[in-house]
Amino acid sequence: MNDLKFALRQFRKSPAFTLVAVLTLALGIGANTAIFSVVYGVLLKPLPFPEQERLVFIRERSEQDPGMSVSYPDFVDWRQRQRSFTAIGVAREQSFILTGVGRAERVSGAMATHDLFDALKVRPVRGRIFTADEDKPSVGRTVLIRESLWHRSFGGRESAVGESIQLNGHSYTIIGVLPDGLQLPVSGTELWEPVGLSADQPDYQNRRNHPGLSAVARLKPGVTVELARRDMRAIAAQLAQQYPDSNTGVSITLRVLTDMVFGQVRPMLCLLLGAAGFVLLIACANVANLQLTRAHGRAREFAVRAALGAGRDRVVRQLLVESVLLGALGCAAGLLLGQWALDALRVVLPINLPRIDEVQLNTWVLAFAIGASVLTSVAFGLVPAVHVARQDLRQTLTQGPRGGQTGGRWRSGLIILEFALTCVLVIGAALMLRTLGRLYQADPGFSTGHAVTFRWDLPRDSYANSTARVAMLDRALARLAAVPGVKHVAFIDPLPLMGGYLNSGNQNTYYVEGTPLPQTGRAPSTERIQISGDYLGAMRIPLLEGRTFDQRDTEHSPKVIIVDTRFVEKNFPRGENAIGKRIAYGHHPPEKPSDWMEIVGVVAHIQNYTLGDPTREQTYIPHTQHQPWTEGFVVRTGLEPAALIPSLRSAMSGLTPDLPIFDVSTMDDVFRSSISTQRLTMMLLGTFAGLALLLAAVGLYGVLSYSVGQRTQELGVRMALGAQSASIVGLIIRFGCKLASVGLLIGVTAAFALTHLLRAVLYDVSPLDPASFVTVAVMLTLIGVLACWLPARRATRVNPIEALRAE
Amino acid sequence: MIKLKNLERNYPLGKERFFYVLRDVNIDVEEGEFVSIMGPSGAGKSTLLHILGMHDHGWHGEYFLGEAAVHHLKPKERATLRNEQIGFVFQQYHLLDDLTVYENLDIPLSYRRYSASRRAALVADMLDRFQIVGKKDLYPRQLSGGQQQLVGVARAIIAEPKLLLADEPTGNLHSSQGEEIMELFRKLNEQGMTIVQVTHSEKNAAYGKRTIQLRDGWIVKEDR
Repeated sequence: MNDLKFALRQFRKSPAFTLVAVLTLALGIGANTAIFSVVYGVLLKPLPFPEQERLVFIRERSEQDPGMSVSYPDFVDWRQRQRSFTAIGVAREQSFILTGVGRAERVSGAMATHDLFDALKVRPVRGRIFTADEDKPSVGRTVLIRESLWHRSFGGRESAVGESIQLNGHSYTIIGVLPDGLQLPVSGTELWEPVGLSADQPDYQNRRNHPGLSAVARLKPGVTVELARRDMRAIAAQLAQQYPDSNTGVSITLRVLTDMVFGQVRPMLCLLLGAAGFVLLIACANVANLQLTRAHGRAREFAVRAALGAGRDRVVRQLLVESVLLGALGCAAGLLLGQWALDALRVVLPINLPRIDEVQLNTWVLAFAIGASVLTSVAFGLVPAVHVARQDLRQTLTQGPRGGQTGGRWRSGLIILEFALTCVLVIGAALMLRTLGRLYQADPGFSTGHAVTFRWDLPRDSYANSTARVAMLDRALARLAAVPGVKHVAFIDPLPLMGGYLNSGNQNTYYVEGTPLPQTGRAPSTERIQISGDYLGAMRIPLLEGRTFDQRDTEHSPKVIIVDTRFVEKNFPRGENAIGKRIAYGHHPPEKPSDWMEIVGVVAHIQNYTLGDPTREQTYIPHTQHQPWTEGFVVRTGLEPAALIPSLRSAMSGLTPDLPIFDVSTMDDVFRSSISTQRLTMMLLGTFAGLALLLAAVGLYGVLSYSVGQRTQELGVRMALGAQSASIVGLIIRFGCKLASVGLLIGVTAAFALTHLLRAVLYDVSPLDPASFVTVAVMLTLIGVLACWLPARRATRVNPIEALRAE
Repeated sequence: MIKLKNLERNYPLGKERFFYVLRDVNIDVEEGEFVSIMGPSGAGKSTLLHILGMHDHGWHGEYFLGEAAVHHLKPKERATLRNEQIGFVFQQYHLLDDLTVYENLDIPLSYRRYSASRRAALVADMLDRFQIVGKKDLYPRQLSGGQQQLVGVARAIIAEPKLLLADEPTGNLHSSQGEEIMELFRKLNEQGMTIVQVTHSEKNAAYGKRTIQLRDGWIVKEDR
C-alpha cells in the first residue's frame, strides 16, 4: 500500500483534524517565514561587496564625543601612513537638488573619495569610477549615479553616461552607474560626488573640524581586525603628538562593517525570530497532541499491522510520511500566510531599517520554510510514532487500546511546554506594552502635537554668503507665517528626535568666561542648536529666565546665546544667575572678542534625541549671527497638521520652485518614527503572544476533552457513588489547572532568565517588572480555567448508567 | 512443528507476587495437525495463542517452531520468523477500515520482500480462490461479518504460512457463517496447513483432530 496514498485518504477521512492541524502549522510556519524574510533581507543576505568580513568601518573619538566623524586632514594622513589596508576611503551624506531632468528633485546623495570604491571592490554597471585626479578641487565635476536613478530620471539609456546634469546649481558629468545594492553611506543614496571637490574649503582644511566623514577600509590579506585597530591607534597617537591643539585625546573606533550596519538591529530581529520560533514550537506541540490522540484511536490498526508483519520501523515510516505530508500542507498554507504577513509587516517596519527594500520572499526564505516544515513534521510525527511503537501488541489486539500512562504523560508534557513558552512570550509582550505606554507618556520637554516639520537645503554655492542665507531664511519664515492656520513658525538646526547621541554631528566644546582652562582634550561639549526667534513658541519649550532671540540680535550686534537648565546646573551650580555671563565655543577664550556670546535666556532641557538616548547640555544660537548650513523648520498650527502640508509646500515652492522641501512630516509622526523599534517589537511580540495564547488554550481544551472521553467510566462510577456536578467540574478543572500551573511556573522562571534580552528596547521598565509578571500569571491562569470549563461541563453530562453498562 | 516446554506467563502484582496466566504448559503439535484449545473464560487460551503467534514476549520456558528455538531469538528475529511461518485469524477480524478488500489482502505482502508483480498475482489468486473478486474494491464496512472474516482468513494465508493460528474465528459470526469458515479451515488442513484454534464451541472443536483443555493456566486434559 502506498503510504502517501494512504495518508491522503486518512486526511480526507478526518477533514476537521486535517484543517485544524494544517492551520495550526500554517500559523507557526507563516509567522516564522515572515520574520525570517526580514532577518534574511536585513541581516543575512551578503552585502554586495566581495569578502564583506574584510571590510571595516572607522570613525574618530574623544572623551567628550565617542562618535566623532573623521577630520579630512586626518584621513589624508591615515591614507599615507596606514599599513593594514589595501584601500581606505571616506564618505558622508550629502543631498542634492537635481534640476534639468524633468521636475526639480531632491536626491539623497553622498560625497566619497575614489578609493572608497576600491575598498568596497564595487564595479559600475556602466561607465567607470572617479579617478584620483578627479578627486581634487578645481577640476571638472563628475558624478556617479545609482541604477534606480538611472532608470527613473534617464530612462535607463546608455547615453546617460557622459551627459551633463545640474546639481545644486553646478554642472556635473555622469561618468558611471553604480548597482542598486550599493547603499552606502546610508540607505537610499543615489548620487556620489568626489570628496576632493570640497578639499580646499575651510571645513576640510581645518584639522579640528569633523565634517561628517566616515571611513571604510579593506583589510590586507592576513591582517586581523585587532591588528588594524592597533595600527590606526598608533597613527592617531602620532597625530596627537604632531598636532596637539587639534588631536590631543583623539583616537579611533574601528569595527567590522557588518557590525556597524546591522549591529543595532541585529538583537531586535534575532529576538523576534526567537519569539516566532516559540510560536512554531507551540504549534508543533499542539499538532503532536492531535497526532497522539489520533494515534491512540488508531492503535488497533497499528497492532494489526504489526501482527501482519510490519516492523517497528515500518510503522514509524508510515506515521512520518503522514506527518511530512501534513507538514507539507502546513508549509504551503504557511507560505501564503507568510506572504500576507510580510506585506502587512512592510507597512510598519522602521523606515531606517537597513536594506528594508530587500525584504521579500525568495529562495532562501522558501528553503527556510521547507526546512522548518520538515523539522516540525519529524518532531510532531515522532511523538506518536514512539508512543505507538511502545504499545502492548497482544493487549491492543485482544482488549483494544488503553489510554496508557505513556500517552497521557506525553500529552500532559506537551501542554506544560506550550504554557511555558506562551508565558515567556506574553511576559515579553507585556513588558513591551508597558514600555510603549511609558514612551507615549514621556515628556520630551516640548510639544509634538499640531506641528509640522520639514527640511529645506539651500545650496552652499548659491548661498555661500551668510547674509544671503539669512535673508532667504527670513523670507521663507515670513511666507510660512502668512499661510492660513499657522500660529508659530521657526527655523531649527538640527531638528529634534532625529539622530542619536553618538552621531548627531552638532556638538561643540565650549569655554565659560572666568573659569580655569580645561586640560587639552578634556573641554566640555554641548549641543549647538541654531534657531530663529519664534522657536520656543513653535516647540512650546518653557522659557525659564531672561528672553528669547528677537530683532535686536542681528549679524552686527553682540552675539547672544540661550542655555538650558542642565548647562546652568553644570556650570553655575551655586545658584548663580547665568543671565549676563559669557561663553564661547572652543576650549579657550576666543581670539576675537566679538566671538564671546552673552547668555540672555535659560530654557528647560529637552530630549532632543530618541527617547532613552542620553543627552548633553543644550545651547541655542540665533540663525542671524551664525552661518546656518542645514535648514529644518517647525510650523505650529491650530488645524489638523497633516492638512496644512499642501499649503506649506505651495508656499515654499512659490519662493524657490527649484528647491523643494523634503522630509515633511507631522511632529507626532516624527515622534512615532523615533520609537518605531519599540512599536514594531511590541506589535510583533503581542501578535505572537496572542497566537501562542490561542494555540495553548485550544491545546489544553483538546487534551482535557480527550481526557474526559477516556475517563467516562470513571466519572460514571463517581456519579453513581454520589459525586455532584460541582465536584466533577472541580476534578477536571483541577487536572487542567495543574498542567497550566506547572507550565506557568516553568515559563515564569524562563522569563526571569530571558527578559534581559529585551533590555535594549525597554524604556523606563525593568526586565523583571513585577506588575507585568503578576498580570501575565493571573491572565494565563484565567485562560487556563476557561479552557478547562467546557470539557468540565461536558463531564457532568456523563450518564452513569450508560457509562457502567459499557464497562 | 510446535514444541512448548515448561511454558509460563505471569504478571507481577507487587513485591515478589505474581499472577499466573499460564503455568508449566507442555505441548507438541505435529505438522499438518488441526488442534483446538478450549477452556473457560480466563483459562489462558488467547494468551497461549498469542504466545504461539509471537505477539507476546513476556513468557518463560521453551518454544520451538520447527528447528527454531524461539526462546533464544530476539524480538526482531521472532518477527521475521513469524512473517515467514505464521498466519493469524482474529475473532474481531481486525481488517483495516480504510483499506479496500484488495488492499487488506496486499498489506501482509507489502511487509515482506515481494515484488509488485508477485504481490498482484498472489492477491488476484486469493480473490479468485475465495470468490471475492467482485468485492475487491469494497471497504470492510460494506461487507457482512462472514465476508469480513473470509477476507481475514484470506489475509492470514496469503503469504503461504506453514502455521495458521485462529483466535475464536467464528466468535462474532452467525452459525451458518461460522460453518463456512470452519469448512474453509478443514480444507486448508487437508491441503497440509497446520492449524491451532482457540474456541468455546465443541462443534468447532470437532473440526480438529485434537483438543487441549486449559483451566486456570494449566493443561488439564488432551483429547484426540
